[in-house]
Amino acid sequence: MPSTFYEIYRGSPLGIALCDSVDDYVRSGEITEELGRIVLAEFDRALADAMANIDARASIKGHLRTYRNCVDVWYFSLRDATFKMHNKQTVSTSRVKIVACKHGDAVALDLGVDPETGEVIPGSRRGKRG
Amino acid sequence: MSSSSTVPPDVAQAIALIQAAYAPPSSATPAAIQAVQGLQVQLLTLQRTPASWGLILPLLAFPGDANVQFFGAHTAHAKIARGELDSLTEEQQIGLRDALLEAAGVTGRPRVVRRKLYAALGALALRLTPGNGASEGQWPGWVQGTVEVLVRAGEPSAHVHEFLAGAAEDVSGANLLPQAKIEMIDSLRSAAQLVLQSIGTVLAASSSTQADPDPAALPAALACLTAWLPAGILPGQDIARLVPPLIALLPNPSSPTPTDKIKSEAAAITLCELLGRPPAAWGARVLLEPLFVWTARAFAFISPGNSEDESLDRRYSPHAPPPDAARALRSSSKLLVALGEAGVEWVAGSIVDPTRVALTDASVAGTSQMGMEAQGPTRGFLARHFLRVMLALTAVDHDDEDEDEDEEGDSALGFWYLLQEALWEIPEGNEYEDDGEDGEPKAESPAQKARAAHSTAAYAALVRVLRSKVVWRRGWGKERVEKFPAFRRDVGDTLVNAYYVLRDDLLVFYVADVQARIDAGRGWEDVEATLHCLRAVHEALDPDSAGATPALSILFGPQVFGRLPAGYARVRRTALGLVDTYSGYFATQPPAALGAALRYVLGALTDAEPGVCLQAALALRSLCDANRRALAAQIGAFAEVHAGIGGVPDSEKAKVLQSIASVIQALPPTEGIAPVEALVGPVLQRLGEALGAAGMHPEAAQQAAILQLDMLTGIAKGLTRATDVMAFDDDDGGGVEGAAVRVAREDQRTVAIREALFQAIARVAELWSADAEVGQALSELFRAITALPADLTLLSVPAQPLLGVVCRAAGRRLTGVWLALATILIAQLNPPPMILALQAAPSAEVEACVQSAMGEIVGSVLGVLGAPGGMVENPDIVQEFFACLDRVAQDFTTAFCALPDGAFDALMQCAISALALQERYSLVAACTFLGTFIHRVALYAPISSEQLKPLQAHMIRVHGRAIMRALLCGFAGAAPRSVTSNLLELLAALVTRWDENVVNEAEGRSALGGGGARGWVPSVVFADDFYPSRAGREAKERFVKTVVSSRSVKKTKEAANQFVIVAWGLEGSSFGYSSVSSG
Repeated sequence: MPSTFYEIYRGSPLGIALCDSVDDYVRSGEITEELGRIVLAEFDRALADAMANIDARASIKGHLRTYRNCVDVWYFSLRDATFKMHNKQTVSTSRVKIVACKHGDAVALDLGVDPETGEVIPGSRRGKRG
Repeated sequence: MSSSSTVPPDVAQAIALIQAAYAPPSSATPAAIQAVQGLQVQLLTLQRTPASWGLILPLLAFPGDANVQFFGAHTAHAKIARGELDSLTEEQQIGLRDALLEAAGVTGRPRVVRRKLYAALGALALRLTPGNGASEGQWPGWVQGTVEVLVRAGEPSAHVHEFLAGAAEDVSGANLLPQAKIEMIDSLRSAAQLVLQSIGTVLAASSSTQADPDPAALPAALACLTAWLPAGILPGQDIARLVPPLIALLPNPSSPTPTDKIKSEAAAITLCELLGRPPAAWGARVLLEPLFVWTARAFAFISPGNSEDESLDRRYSPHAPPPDAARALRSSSKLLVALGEAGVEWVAGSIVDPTRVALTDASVAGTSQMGMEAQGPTRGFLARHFLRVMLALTAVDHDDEDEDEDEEGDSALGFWYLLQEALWEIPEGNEYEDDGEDGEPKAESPAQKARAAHSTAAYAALVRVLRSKVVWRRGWGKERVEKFPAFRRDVGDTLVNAYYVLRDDLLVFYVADVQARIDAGRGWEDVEATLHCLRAVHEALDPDSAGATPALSILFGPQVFGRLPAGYARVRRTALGLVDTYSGYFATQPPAALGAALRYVLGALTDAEPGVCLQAALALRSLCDANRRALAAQIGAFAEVHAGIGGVPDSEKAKVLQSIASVIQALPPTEGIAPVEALVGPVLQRLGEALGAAGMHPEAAQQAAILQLDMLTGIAKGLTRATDVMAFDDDDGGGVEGAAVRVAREDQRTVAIREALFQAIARVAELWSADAEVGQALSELFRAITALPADLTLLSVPAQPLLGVVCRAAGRRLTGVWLALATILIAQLNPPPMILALQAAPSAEVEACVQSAMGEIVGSVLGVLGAPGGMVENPDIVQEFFACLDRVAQDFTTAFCALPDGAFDALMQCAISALALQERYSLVAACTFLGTFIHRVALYAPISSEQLKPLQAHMIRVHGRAIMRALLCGFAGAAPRSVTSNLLELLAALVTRWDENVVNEAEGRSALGGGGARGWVPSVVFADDFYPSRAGREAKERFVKTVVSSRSVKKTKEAANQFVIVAWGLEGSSFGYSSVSSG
């Protein structure tokens, strides 16, 4: 079953550790692949929810090199970026890629295409920020 | 039903077990809990046996005990879902289907049993309905068939709809092959008319009768509709017919007939779903316009009288509605918010649209008695009225409501963000294509002007409403207080959108507001709220034009900042935060503009309230950083600030010193020497005292030392020039300014300061080498006092002696912090130039320094990691060690040649062992180091025939096959799958750098052949002691063949990736591909 939430957080340290653990369980036969998929899908959902509720803020200053938008997922590639956290801490990096998407449950909807007809669904925009 | 006396013994035993396991616990003792867990394990074991198929029907037929019946249904569901159905013959499967259908037809079962039975039927349908290619499935028309059984048995419509809702959810959530999925969706599609008809019947009955015989019927029918919507198989035009009766169920305060709350809530939830995912090809007339008409009628009291005749400002009221209206708004807030989200583009585009809305059945239904005009209202009227409703909803005070409703009310904020975006996106009739020859855009049309006037009036009312919403109120509960900052932040976001509409008018309004409140002596809470609003909109301000805004000069002048209410910590914190946020604004103003704000900040530095003091220190740091040159003229005043630093809490002293230092940095470097001496001298003196007291009072001395180190870090940071590295001159020395700094550094006073600083650091590192807190403080200080040539300050200390200090500290007590510091310092010793072509080789002195450091570090680390379990127990050291080696490999490759005898081989063995670690960061660091090292050695070997060429040959001969073996074992499963990409990079380094020529030369073979590093793969993979995996001989041969024969790195990587999937036993499984994560 494909996850209806973005899978981007599987690339986070937490997600990588979970994927590795699930891999081990599946390989040793302690859980089925199906259950492994469900665990990862649940992780996608939980992270999407958790991220939507985070209050922390940071402002970013840098040179925008490229950006693109595909089915409501934005990519920004920045050079010489400085992140200013809400606690005034600053972090600088020579390169950073930012992936920004809406709250996870918007994925299925905001593909914006009717599964049968292939037509764009009007009003599929939910407008949540995340 | 059979009675318990006639049941077979095995069934009776199972029943007894279930009743014991589900019985309320007699006590909560560990023994009792353990006993219940033991029973549950027995039940699960029983459920897994083939014989448990025979328990399902007797348990379902057991009278009077819902737990027993539930376990019967649960057993059926679990066994089917687990794929145990294959253990039954085809006839038995059909028999099970018929028996479960019969059991479902038994009326009067508890809800939990009924739902579990429906779930079992759904699971069974997922396995029996799809055919096998050409043949048809075993359960065609399963939805209709089950409904027929339920209806025949006399089940109420609510139960039938429960089953139908579950059927749609089961199919949409099932993990099926594409063909099976299509067949299941077809099976739902064939029942679509039945579903719609059934829902329509219930809806019509609910609309027509006041006394409904079954109150659960409508919610169940609408829940069923909601469950079938995502599948997208109900025809849009048929769903559209359900919209009028749904709207008719919504609450309407103007209606003479009372609304059924349960029905109206169910209808509202369904309409929210429809708004969120409307069927394809629905225009605004189907759902949006009828709902806007409903809104206009249901909330007609929002704009009593003929408000359209009033001035724009009066039409959009910024006041909270009266209690009755607020209650009505709150009860419909979910639907209003959903309508706002779905219809925001319609609202934005219709504000001045004179077109009348065609009254469809949906908008007329149930409202005929309300005196609706025959031709319908205009779109413009509906849109404007909706804006007023949303304003009122935003203004609703939620103090007396519970938390859930509170959150719903707050979500109205999102509408204003969407509206602002929608207003910007309205096409303006290609106005720019019609530009005149002079390139001037076409003048605004009357419609544009009217729309702009309405949107401006609405947002002007909004900013008044939002200001009142962020007023702090005494007496709030703890939960409300905790949520307030997040709520304020959300309001701040909305204010940014309002700024985009109102621009400077917003600033003018808020500054006038705060000024008027101060004049009137109004409560400090109101003043503080307005200051917060001004702070929130800062991020939207254009820094170039903000300087020209007169409102800001009034704000930061004596009229406002000179008269802020005193004695209230919350006001002071917000005001200081405002200065902090707007610190860059002062750089665009004459120096005198800083006066009031600076005095306010300095006055708060010694405040007894810790939060105020912290905010003051932060504001001072930002002000000084952004206005160095302007403040440098008042350096004398900062001497007074420094003299009074004793009154500043310890936690903020570093920030204050950083502020002063940043002002000193703006002075000519030679003029800055004395002030720097004055700043650093006392700190070093106190640090010396702490070092002296370490023997007597170790803890207090350590804390004092950390505080002084933090202060030194602050001073060093302040002395660093502006942060924009791109603003520096082209040469590496920092231009004229850099030259002046270098001259000042030669002054004996600065030489003495740096010498004293270095000695203090060396003593701290010696005394507290095992202390993590001190290590962290030193780490921060090192980052601040070591710099690229362009960043050189009066305090910058060369990296070489510091590296010696670090190595000695690591020798005394090895920690990851020392290794990380060594990495930073080694990088400083060979800094990258601004232009890559100008990179010069490091000097012999620097090379010797790094070689010496390498020897010490490798010796210390191998001593720790070489112990049994050393690598597993010290992942931080492993990671930082290989990161440090990676740095050395990049910048000082020949340093490895100078390692003592045996140390290099021990180092390589350590790296090879690390390739099998389960801690991924250690493994990745080792992998990265080996890859870099192989690349660098191969790159420089041809020009370093005395050092790197023999080293490469040694590596190939002694360690080459071991590296390859560790790598391939990693692919086979010795390493986590997430590091596959890192291992692939190492494989690429091996096969590209150690080709046939290089390997043959290293191994002293003159003849061609062998294949280089690729040639080692077969002997490793087919060896008896290769890592045991799921990859059989065939898979191994396929992999080896590609690696050995292919000259393409890409194909080699693809083959290795495929080998990983096979070795993990995930071939042919979507899990293998879907779960793989990037390294």
